[in-house]
Amino acid sequence: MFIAALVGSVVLSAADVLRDVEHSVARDSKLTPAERLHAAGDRLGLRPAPFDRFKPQLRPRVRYAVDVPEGSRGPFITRGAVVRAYSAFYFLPAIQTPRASRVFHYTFP
Amino acid sequence: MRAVALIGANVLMLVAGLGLLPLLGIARSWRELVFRSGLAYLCGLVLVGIVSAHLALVHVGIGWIGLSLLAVASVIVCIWRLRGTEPVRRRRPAWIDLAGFAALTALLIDYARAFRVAPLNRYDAWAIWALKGHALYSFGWADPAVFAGASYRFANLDYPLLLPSLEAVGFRAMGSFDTRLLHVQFLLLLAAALLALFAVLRDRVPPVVLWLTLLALALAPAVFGQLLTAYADLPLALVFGVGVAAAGRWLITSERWALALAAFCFAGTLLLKNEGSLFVLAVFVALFVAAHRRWRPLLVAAAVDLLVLLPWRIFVRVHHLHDINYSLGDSFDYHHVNGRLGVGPIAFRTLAEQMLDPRQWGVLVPIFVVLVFAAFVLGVRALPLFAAVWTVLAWLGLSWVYVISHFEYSSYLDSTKERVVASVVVGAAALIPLFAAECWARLSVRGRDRPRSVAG
Repeated sequence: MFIAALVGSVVLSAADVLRDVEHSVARDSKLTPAERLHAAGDRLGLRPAPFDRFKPQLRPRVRYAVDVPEGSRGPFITRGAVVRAYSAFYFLPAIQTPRASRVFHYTFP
Repeated sequence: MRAVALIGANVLMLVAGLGLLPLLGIARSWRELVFRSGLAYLCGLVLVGIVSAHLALVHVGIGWIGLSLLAVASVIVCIWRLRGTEPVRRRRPAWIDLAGFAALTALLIDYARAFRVAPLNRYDAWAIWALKGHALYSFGWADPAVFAGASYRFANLDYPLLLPSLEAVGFRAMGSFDTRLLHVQFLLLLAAALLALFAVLRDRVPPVVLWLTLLALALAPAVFGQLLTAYADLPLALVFGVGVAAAGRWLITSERWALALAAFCFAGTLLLKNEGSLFVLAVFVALFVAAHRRWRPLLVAAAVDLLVLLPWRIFVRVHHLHDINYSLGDSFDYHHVNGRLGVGPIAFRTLAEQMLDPRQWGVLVPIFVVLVFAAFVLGVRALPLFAAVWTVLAWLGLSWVYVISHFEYSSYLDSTKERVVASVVVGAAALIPLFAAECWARLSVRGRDRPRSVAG
């Protein structure tokens, strides 16, 4: 009985997970380098062009600030906070600070 | 080439872990070293994670040189500790072990097809973990400009650094912040944890039960899906699960090495994620309840774990970092708690539904629950008491987080419910083989006694 339950768990899960694997491989293996680079921003619906235009101005450890309207509020944070977070990730190893001479501007359409 | 570098770094971590086995008392002879060598990889990953997380606080980054030094030191310690002990005996592996390894290897190779092409696109993965891993790789340490920076508060700066440190070790080995191969490290962690569970339990439980449990765990859709997101919840669950299995073994056998291994895994758990503190607290309370007469070694284990966490807690205190999701201090805010008490039962029920969801975890939790009851009925005491206390405490603790949080509870619960239960489910699953063995032993004794009493 107990062994049968374990076997059942294995079979039940295998059917689901092997399908998930195939789905993930089919979806992700087609991504281009550019899509992969902006995968996080794309998922959030952020336009990649402003980020790509600003990035060449930065060097490691250079300070920059982000100028973005707060925008609508999601369940946890505003759209503006999402842009600041994504900028912090995308522009590393440049360092985001509340105020700096270099400023990244982003507006919502 | 980068993949080869990542694999090379992991081989060095495995070697470092091998040397840790004699130090923790897990292997007291060459024969035991080979027998329990399945623990080496996970121990190596956790060791490198702990060491690199601490060194990151004092401006030291671990790359090829650090890994090589750790591995060489490990080999020297290993040879020194095991000199003159019982040599390795050649034994033909059992067919069931060969079949089990073949099945798991095939599965992990299949998973690897997805992990090597996965994009880094899930919020917590890039906003918390990979961002910190990238910063550690780029700056060589936990530079307060980022790790205590006002603009980085969104990244849960109070979360400990084991996982980002491990990611940074991989980036240094690859010479690049590779957001694709980062996922492969998560898959390797799964392989390490499965090997470790096998090594902890192989001589205490029936092999068929052990292999079926390992397969059921590895095949659980939540394990694959959550590891692929590159979140910390599943790594936390895997390290914690091995610790729980070792703690369960210690309860039954009182072997000192099992408690040492459990304490080591719990140290890793504490440095993986803040929720690790809840799970480790729950497990130690349960151990004290189930084995109160053995309180001295438990106290030592708990003290060692606190010591390992201490440097990070000092960093958090010095830089005034705090949890942006909730504050435990709000537990004593009567007005806040009173207004949200209704959230508790909802969260408790929702988390139970997640744990019982067969599309996420198969039927691992129902099997665990039945075995806990069966063990109680059959007269086993320490193991089911331990299991019941830590799982209920962890479950209650997780539910309480939703009560004291200031977020709108339904959004918070919906966005986290699937993953926060991972440690409870994996920890429970890790105990299934021990429960099965204990119940089977009791039933066998009863079966033997019955004809004898009739004859008598």
